[in-house]
Amino acid sequence: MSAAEGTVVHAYGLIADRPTLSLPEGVDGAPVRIARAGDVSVLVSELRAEAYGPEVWRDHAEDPRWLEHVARQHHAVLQAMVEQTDVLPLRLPGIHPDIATLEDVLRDQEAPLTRALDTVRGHVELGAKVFLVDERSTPEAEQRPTSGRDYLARRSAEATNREEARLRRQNLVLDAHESMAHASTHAVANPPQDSALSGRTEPMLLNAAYLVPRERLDDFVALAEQIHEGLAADGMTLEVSGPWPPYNFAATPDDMKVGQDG
Amino acid sequence: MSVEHVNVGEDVALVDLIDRLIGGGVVLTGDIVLSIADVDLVYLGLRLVLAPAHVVEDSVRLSRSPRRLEE
Repeated sequence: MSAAEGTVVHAYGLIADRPTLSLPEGVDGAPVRIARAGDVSVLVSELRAEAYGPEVWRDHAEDPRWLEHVARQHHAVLQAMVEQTDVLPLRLPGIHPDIATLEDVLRDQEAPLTRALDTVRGHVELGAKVFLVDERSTPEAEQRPTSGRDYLARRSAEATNREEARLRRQNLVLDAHESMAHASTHAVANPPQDSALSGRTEPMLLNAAYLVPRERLDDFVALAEQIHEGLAADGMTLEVSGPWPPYNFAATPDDMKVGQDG
Repeated sequence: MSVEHVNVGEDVALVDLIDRLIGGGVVLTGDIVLSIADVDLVYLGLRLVLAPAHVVEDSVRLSRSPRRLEE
């Protein structure tokens, strides 16, 4: 039975230290509090089961508006935290029957969770995307081809130029990613977002995230600005976002075990 | 160069947020209040936040699948 009848516990993320935090409002304005098990502290809200219990999640599992509502509020708490202290995001749906059960889970997994927290300690996540904004067509043209052979030769040359430009861009993007990875502790290149999902028509050439030490944020941004200027000559643009809670670098306890054993 | 500061409010790009929520975050074992099938549905649902189902099906195939602990 739940400690408080009719409630569930929504867990947002873990924090290692408990400096004086200004805790934001949680889901639907519920207070956010800190529960603790061993060295691990977790940010939670107690929510009404009739609004956020397992049955409600099940009923709304394919309800975009409801999920967006929860996702944004979950993120808002983590974002407010990352601006104050290091935080390890928990995956949605993070609901638990009560605080005592959640504390047992944390105690059971204290070692891997502590390692996962150590990974992100002192770090935030920055996102970087490269878009192709100006794919220059070959400047010649206009002159009418003098023969069929001439036409085919031109078409062939254009295709070669396009392919060369594509390869050149690919290398520039790889170099950019490598430089930014070098300026960070960990890096991950994710699949480019589908333009139907992102709403951007320009092709996305890089969708990466970097785990950057807090004290090197300015250096990273300066590097990104430099890279952006370099890419602009080839019709590309670099967009950096953040600081994000380190979603991309929140390894599961099992991932950590694999990493440790392997 | 745009270095966009992510704010807490409504202006965080939804596609970037959903991208991260689907691909990242620690799963606690003993998180047993929902079945695996239900959790999978939630992940499909999170993609639906962004786009109609036919687009989502394509992108599901391309993207990372959620990490799990059950094995």
